[in-house]
Amino acid sequence: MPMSEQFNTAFETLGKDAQWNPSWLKALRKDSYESFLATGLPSRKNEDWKYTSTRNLTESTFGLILEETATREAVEPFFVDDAHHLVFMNGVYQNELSNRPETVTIQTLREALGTDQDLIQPCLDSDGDSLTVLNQAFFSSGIFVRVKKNTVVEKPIQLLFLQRKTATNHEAMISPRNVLFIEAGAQVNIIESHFGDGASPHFTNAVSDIFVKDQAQCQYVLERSFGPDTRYVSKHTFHIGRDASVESFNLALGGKLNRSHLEFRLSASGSSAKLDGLYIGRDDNHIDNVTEVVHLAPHTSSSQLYKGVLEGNSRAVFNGKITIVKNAQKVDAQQLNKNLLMSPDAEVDSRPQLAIDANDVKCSHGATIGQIDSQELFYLQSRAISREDAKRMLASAFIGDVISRITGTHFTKHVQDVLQSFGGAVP
Amino acid sequence: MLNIENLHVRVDEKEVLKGLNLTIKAGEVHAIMGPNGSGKSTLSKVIAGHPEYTVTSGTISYDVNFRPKNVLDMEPDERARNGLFLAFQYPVEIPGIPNVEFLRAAFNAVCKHQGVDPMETKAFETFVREKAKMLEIDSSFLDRELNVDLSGGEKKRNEILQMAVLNPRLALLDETDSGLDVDSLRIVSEGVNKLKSEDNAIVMITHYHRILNYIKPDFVHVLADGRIVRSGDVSLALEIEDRGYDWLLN
Repeated sequence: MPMSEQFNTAFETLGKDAQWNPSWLKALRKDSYESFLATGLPSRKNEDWKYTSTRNLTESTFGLILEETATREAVEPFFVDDAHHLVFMNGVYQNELSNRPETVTIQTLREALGTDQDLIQPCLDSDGDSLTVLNQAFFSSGIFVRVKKNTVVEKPIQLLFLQRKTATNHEAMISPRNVLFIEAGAQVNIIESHFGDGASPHFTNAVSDIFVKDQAQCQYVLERSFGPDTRYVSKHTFHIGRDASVESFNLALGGKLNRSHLEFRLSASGSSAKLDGLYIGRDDNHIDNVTEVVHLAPHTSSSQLYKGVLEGNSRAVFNGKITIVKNAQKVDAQQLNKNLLMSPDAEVDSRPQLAIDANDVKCSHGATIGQIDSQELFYLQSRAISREDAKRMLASAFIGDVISRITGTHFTKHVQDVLQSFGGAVP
Repeated sequence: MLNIENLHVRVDEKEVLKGLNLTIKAGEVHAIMGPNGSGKSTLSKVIAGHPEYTVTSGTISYDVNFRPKNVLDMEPDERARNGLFLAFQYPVEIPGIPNVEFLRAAFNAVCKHQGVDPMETKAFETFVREKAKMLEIDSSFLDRELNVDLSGGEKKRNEILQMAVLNPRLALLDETDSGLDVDSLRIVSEGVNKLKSEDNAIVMITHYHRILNYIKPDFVHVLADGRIVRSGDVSLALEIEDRGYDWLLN
């Protein structure tokens, strides 16, 4: 099917919504759409997409959802306890179900397009990859957050994106665009959640820019738990200032296509990023993690641990790039990716990559792909524990350390609960 | 309780046990001695069901509900649920699994098998603390990861703690005494003696006579080149201590 057929109706629908199309944006959207149609979806010839096919995106005629309501009963089970919740159903903001904090400026992106053009526009004219460009043409969801200087936000802020079957039962493209400014010295904990069950074949294409200014601190949990038909790609860019820090945790469970690309730009001395992740695939799930850490200044540091457990026919990719530019001396960059294959048909492609242009740096990377250790399995079985239970215990033990790296019992418990609802490391 | 007849076992392509016979009854303590490489550890692992060993001929039967059952048809966990226990010569370290959780999973697997309700976390902790005290194990030890960073002696004590929790009918102690200092040996042996009863049996695999001073065997067997070449009472162990094994070979 030609791509224009897949997207034209949606683009026309969006074009009729004035608030999503302020005058300054209209031309950019059109250019982006044309540019996307000319480039197309990423192919496997693109190194970043070598192990992930976008073919399952080429057969759908995507609808666009601009109106949708949800009930409290439907969304509450997904709430992080004791937090501010900003709720979206199929990409549409649910004002009645959301509670915005008083100390933080939070607007839907739709509102912010009219009021904060000066902050949003610079994020848009980037020369991104084709999916970012696609988002630029279509974004019709998302949030604008501004945490003022030296503000410490006590409760976490949850951006909750839920999906369900549409009234007309068509496949939708949900395109959130999030812009977050954490001003100098501010502190905030964000959790961005995407949940879609077996009834959701939708395609989410999310783009977020997070500016963490000097001495600010941001904890950012990105979690996705999907059914077998859900498709999701996202690009997050963290712009990290002097002595500022980001602690991210990236949880990816299930999905037909479940890909995140997290970029950390350590732009000034003393900035640091901790990026940990856990991904679990089973059946025909495909999970793709791209991490990109760019050390642009001396005395910056990054550490990352990504772990995956793959069952059934599932497949995962870990693509971890660390770049250290010229003169970025005294950089400390650590990266480790570990995988546990629970079935002979599961597959992992792990590609840790370093590009170092400075000579006085401390850098390490590594990747392992293993199976359940037969001696450990026998030991547990010899203590009356069934083979299945023993495997479950060993898989849980394998992921224990990466979960324990999440700061704060609040998020730790939440992540454990989400994992539990998915069926644990091994069901 | 356990009856082994004409057991032949291969590891990789090598035949390690070459027609071994052994009968163990309830209430008995057996010691199996023998030179290195004679097949002692193989015997204990085959009884426990280690997947790396292939039985090429012979039988192992074990009484379940007073009826002999073919052990070789049972998975290792099924054997354990029916009261077979192997104290490992080299206990396996498993990072990420707390000792107490492991013990509770093992205990509750047996409960389930016996149709008894599983024990709750709190009740189990009280229960396991009592057992740990008997083996002079510090209770902080229970919260540590399974066997991780334990000394050789601590690992061996942990094996006997597992035995105390599971209360097996037939316990195979594979060189539980090696690597133990005198005090640990005494504590471990006293623990084993407390677990001994008329209804269960113990098989000790050992190189040394000294554990036999603490746990008195009813029978001593010498295993050499894959067979039991001599059986006797405790005086056989004393004779080996004196004369070595050479006189028993050939």
